Amino acid sequence: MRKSLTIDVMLHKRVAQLASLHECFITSTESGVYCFAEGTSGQTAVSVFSEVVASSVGIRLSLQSSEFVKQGPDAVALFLQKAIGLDTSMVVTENVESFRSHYEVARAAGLTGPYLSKLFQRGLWLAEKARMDMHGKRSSINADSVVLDLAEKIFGDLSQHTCLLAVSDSECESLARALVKKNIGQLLFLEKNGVAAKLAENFQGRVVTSGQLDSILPTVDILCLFDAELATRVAGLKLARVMNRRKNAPQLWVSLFDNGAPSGPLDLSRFYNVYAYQRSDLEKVVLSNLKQHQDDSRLSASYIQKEIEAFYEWVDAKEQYRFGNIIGKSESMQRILELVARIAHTDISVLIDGESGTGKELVARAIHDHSTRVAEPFVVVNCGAIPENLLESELFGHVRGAFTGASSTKVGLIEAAHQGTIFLDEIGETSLATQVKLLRFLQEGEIKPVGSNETKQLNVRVITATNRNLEEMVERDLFRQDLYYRLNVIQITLPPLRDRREDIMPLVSHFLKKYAELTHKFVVGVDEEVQHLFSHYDWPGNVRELENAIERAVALSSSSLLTQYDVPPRLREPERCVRPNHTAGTMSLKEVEKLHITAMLEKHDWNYDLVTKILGIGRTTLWRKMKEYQISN
Amino acid sequence: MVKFLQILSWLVFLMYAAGFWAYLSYFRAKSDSLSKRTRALMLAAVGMQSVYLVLITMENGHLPVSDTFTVLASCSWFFVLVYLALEMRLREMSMGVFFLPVIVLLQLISNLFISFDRPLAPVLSEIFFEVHVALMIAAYSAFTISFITSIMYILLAREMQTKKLGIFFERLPSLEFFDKLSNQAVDIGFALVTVGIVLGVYMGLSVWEHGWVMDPKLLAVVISWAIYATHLITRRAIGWQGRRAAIVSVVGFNWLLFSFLIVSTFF
Repeated sequence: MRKSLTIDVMLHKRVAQLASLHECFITSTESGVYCFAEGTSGQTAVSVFSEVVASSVGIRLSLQSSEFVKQGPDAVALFLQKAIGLDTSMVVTENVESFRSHYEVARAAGLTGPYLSKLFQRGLWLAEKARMDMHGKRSSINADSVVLDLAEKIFGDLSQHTCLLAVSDSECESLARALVKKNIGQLLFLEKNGVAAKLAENFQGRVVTSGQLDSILPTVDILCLFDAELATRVAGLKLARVMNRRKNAPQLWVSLFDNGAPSGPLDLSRFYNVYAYQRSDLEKVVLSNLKQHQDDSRLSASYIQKEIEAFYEWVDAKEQYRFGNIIGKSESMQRILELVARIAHTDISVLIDGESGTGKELVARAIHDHSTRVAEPFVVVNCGAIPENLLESELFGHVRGAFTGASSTKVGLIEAAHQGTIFLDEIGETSLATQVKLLRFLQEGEIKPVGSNETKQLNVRVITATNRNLEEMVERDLFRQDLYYRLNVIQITLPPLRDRREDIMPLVSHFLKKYAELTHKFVVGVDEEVQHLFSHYDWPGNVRELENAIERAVALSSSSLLTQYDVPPRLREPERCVRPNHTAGTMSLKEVEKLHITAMLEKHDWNYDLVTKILGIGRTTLWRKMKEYQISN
Repeated sequence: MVKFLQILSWLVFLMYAAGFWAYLSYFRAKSDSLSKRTRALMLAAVGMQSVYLVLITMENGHLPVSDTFTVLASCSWFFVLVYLALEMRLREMSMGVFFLPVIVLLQLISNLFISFDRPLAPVLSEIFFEVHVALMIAAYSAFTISFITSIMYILLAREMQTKKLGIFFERLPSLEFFDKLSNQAVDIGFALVTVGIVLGVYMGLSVWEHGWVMDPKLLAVVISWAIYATHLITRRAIGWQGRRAAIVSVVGFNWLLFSFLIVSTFF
């Protein structure tokens, strides 16, 4: 028995370490084991991989031939094919679940860098696109399914029919399983080598001996012969009599033994109601089905080609952590981008929440750009910036004379976004009246301009954002609960910058480039002191504050590196752990304490020593308070 | 009025022609929207045909069973109703592409030769006669259904025997489906035609003096009856199921059609 390969963190780390790879991803599908790697040691990687696999599985493979090694665009193409679920015949049959779960393993091993992440993300997007384009046209591409198709085409509903399997080993198991799934009336197993008894037990069938064959054959509608010797035995019976006893009811005979010889002893052509298929016939059917599939798969091949070109453009642009306009190296950002890739195709409503300045509009734009609405309008509305009494007419439009000052008919912003996407920022700032109208729009797809009695049907995808706690607002009756559930079918939470410090330096390089160009100054980097400051600052204003700081620093800089004197003074102050506490106003002292203690514990990873030092209390005091406020891990 | 009836009859014909085209497109593409539109078209067509027949009745003063071609028109209408009922009950729209040509043909022949002002022969105005004709229409519709489903059975069986699995394998329901339908249709048709013949002979006895056995119409129908009786017997007793039963049904229908048209026209 072959040992199987377990794809785990250890395997990834071994291969990556031995071959000095930056990125490594190992997956196994029905068609084999694949290793995708990024690093400079191409040949070493190949030999290391084959060594590792050999020692785990006990099989020695020679992987040096070109069949097993792919480089560059070919490798990218193969990755994308696996991500969509295409097997070697370019047909969508493979399950992408194991592919994705193995990717999580690689991610856990820390071996998914920018290249694999970008490819994985594109793979997710392509998989959704392929699924939507191909309507899941599934036709039979293996012998068992063809047999079932034939049976169903002859008999319709199989539950009143009987099937006899003549086997000498457990070769027939997959067919038996498929038959049971289709509710076959009765399964009979012809005895040879003692296999039949076990099979009958597994599939709740009956055993038939050769002696009983004569009497049982008339009741059998489907005959599957897996063994040549048994077939001869069956052929030895007086088949004309059997047909007579059956009153010539249709019968399906399938010869599945694969020793190369054609059906051999059986000549069933003289029986007009018998449909006899050999293995070669079944394979011909499979081939013609595959050809049909390949026409469909040609679509995906062209998509993959485009993706490869886009990928190499991206590589050449040398902005590895940049996905469109979003810079994200941290794992949390990667996951958000993967989520965007998966949901962009649908018209599902998305609610983006996160602190101010974390890039909510950028994510909304990314969703729009990856969707089918990319060529249509993308309308941004900041609900917080528009006065409450004007918001309704801004969104839904108004007719002439609807109110004082309405001198002409105005088209609303939602209508302006027809066929496209509308982004409603700061949705928490809307009045309850506007919320009602919005809910109606989300439910019925129609709006009623202010002052008009006519409704308009519109097709708009809605993305909303907030930096308030909407759930709490719902509780306090400041936001409608039904609207809340409508808007947040998918919720994307953008983490604040301080929770993803790995992103800070890539963002810094990006902004540096931007502002250096704008101001025509030659600034290429930051000195060590500034790097330290940036990485440890709290960034209450998140990315916007960072961009701001760099803009200022670049303007003030006097050398090619930014120094600590160029950056805003507040960054230079010792750690400010002030977290803007929106609801501090209504909390009691005990609640403030509880919140603060919990926040500190979470921030410093439940390191009690450190937290007690920061809070300035003793360890026993901390534990007492934790017990009192019921704070636990 | 006659002019209007003529226009109406051709409108019905056109609608069924359009229906055939719709079923053909559905058969090739199998999409949901096509199926809904086809159903709507068919219902509209049969509605219009009902109006047409009602108007003929009003114009002629009696049910549209007076001569061959009005009978054909009624036949066509009844047949459409039966087909639609089958289609809705069995939820299978792939048969439409085979049934519609027959319907279109019936309507065409009826339109070409129908005349709206033939007087009714005295014997023909009795109620028994109208029942007789109704029974025969129902029986012939059943036989037609059996004919069409038998053809579909043969087409599908041929694909499966030669192992060249093409569009019929893809789109049609199972062989057993057609077999069952065809057999049931023959059973029903046979029962109806037996009663119909008995009634016809009973009425004929009062009209014919002698030599009634040699009446061509009666002869033709009795031969049809015999062929379908063969179908019943061979199926049950000597196991001519499946393809052979289908062939008998086809033969029977061919004779039926041929005899009906020739005999009615020339005798």
